[in-house]
Amino acid sequence: MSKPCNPGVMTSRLARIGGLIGVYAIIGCILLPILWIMLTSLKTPRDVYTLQLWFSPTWDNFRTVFAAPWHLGDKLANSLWVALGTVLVAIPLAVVAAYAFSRFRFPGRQALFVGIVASQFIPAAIVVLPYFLMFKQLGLLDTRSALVIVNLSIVLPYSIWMIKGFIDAVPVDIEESAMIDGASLGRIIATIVVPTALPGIITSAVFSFTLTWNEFIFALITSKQNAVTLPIALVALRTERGDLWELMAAAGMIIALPMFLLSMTVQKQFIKSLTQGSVR
Amino acid sequence: MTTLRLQGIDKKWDGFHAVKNLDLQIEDREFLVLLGPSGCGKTTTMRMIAGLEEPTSGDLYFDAQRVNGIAPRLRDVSMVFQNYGLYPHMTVRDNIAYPLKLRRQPAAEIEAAVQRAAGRVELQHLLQRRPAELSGGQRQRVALARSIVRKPRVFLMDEPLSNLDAKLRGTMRAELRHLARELEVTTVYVTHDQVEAMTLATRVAIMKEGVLQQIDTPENIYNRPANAFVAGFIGSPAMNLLHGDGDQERFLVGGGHVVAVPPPHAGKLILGVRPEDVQLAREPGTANLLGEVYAFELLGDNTLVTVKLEGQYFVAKLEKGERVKEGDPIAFCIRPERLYWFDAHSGERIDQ
Repeated sequence: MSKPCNPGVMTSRLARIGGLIGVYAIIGCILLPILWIMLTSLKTPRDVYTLQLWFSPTWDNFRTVFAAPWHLGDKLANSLWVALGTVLVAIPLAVVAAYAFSRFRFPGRQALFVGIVASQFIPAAIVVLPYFLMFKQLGLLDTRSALVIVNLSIVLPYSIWMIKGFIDAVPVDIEESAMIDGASLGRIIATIVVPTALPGIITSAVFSFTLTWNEFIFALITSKQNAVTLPIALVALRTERGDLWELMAAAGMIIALPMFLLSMTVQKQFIKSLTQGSVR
Repeated sequence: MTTLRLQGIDKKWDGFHAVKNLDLQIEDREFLVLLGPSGCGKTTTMRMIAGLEEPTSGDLYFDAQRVNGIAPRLRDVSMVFQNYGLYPHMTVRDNIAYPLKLRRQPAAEIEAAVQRAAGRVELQHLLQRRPAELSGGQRQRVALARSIVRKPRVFLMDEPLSNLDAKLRGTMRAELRHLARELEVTTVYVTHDQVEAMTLATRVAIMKEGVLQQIDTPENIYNRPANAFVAGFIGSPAMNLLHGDGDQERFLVGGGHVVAVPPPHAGKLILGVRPEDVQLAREPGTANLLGEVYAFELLGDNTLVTVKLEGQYFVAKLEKGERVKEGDPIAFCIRPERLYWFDAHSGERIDQ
C-alpha cells in the first residue's frame, strides 16, 4: 500500500489555486478595459468592433485627434495649465494654512478647520450653478483662470487637512531650536517645516494634480471653447455620426499617459509618505 | 558679558500658576542651576529667558535692556534642549552651521567656526552624518556644538543630560563644566538632579511649586538649607526629616521614640539629620537614638542602614566595613552640632 496522501496538503493546494484564480480574475477586470483602450487606439474604425487581437496597428487616430476639428493639443495645453496652476497656488497656500492650524491657537480654530474639511463633502453638482453665475458676472466664463479657482476650492481643503497631519508630526522642539538659533517664522517654515514634512507635501501635490487633471463637471459647465480640458474633449467625440471609439481611445491614452508617468516617478515618495506618516 | 535680571516674574496659564513673583539676578559669567522637582517652574523660567514664553507680569532684563516681548531670535541666546532639537533633515555640519547661516556669515568663516565647535566636542569625524545615524551621546554633543558655534549673550541648558545613561552623564557633566569655564558665558542650567546642580553650579536656585526657595552657593545650600524642602532635596541619600514634639531635654518622634538631643524650644518640630552625620554608638552612654534595623544595603564605598521610627524612615550612612542584620537592635550616635531644626508649620530652618 502506498502512503495515503495528506488531505491537509491537498486542501491547502486547492485553496491556493482557487485564490490565484480569484486574484487574476480581479486583475483582469481592472486591466482588460485598459488593454481594450490601448488596442482600440491603434485600430482603424473598421476594426473597432472586432475583438481580434491581430490587426495592423496604426498611429492615424493620434494624428487625427491632434488635427482639426478636434485640436487635442489645445485641450492638452489647457489641462496642463489648469492642473499645474492649481497645484502651484494650492500647495504653498495649503502649507501656510496647515501650519497655522497646527501651531497657532486662535479663537474659532477648531470650527474653522472642521468647516474647511467638511467643505470637501459638498457634491460638486450643488455648487456648480452658483459658480457658473459668479463667473458669468465676473466675465470669467470659459477661461482657464476660472477652472483654477474652482479646482482650488476642491483641492485646498484636502491639501490643508493632509499637510496638517504631517506638520503635526514635526516636533515643536526643532522649531523652537530654530527660533533661538535666529530664524524668523518664514525661515522656519521654509528651512525646517517644509523639508521635514516634504513626503506629505509631495503626496498632496500629486493628489491635487490628479484630481484637477480628471475634473469633469466644472469644466463641462464653465468652459465652452477656449478653456476646454481633456475630459471634456473626450465627450466631444460623441458626435451626430455616432461614437468615434477609436478616437476616444486615443484621447483616453493621452489623458492617461501623464498620470502614468507621474505615478511612476513619485511612487517611491508616495509609498514612503503613506507608510511612514511621521518624521523622526 | 551679560547680567540677567528677573523682577517680579509671574507666569500663569488658565488655572495654573507656574511661576510666582520670581526675583532673580544672574551675574555675568555665572553658572546658575535652576533645581527642583518636575512642575516647579524651572523650565518655564528658562523658556521665559529664551523668549519662548512671555511672562504674565514682571520684567526681564539683559543688562540694562528690558527684553519682554522681544523675539527669541533677537535675544542672542543659545539653548540646548532636553531632546536636543536637532534638525533631522540636515547633516551634523549643517546643524551646527545653521545659526551662522542665518546670520549670513561668509562660507569660509562658517566652515572654520563649525570645525572649531565640532573639535571642542570631538565631532569632526561625524560631520557628514544625519542625526538619525548618531547615538544619544553624539546627538547631545551636536546640540552642544550648535550652541557654542557662536558666542551668545546667555547659554541656556534644559536638562541636557537627562536622556543619557549614567556613565555618559558623568563624563558629559565634567565636559560641560570645563566648557562653561572656558567660554566665560553666563549660563542658566535646568535640572532635577541635585548631583548635577551641586557639581556644576556657581550658585543654585531651588524652586518648588513656582516659588524660589533658596539661592546660594552649593556649599551653603548643603550646609545651611533655608527650609526643610531644600534640606530634603539636597544630598544622596537625602536628609532625614523626623516629625515630632520637643520638650526641655528630648525630642519625641511619633508615639514615643526618643532622640536624646535638646531641641531649641518645646512643641512641634522637624529634626533634620544628614545620613552621613550618623555613626554607630560603640560606647555605652553615647547613643542618642535607638532602633531596630529595617533594611541594610551595601553600596560599595559605604553602607546604608534604615531604621523605622513610628512609621518614619531614618537612614544612616555607615563605613563600608559595617555589617548588621535586619531585625537587630541598633544604637546611633548623632553629632549634636550637625543637627538641623525646622519649624513644623512653615518648614523654615530655626537658627540655633
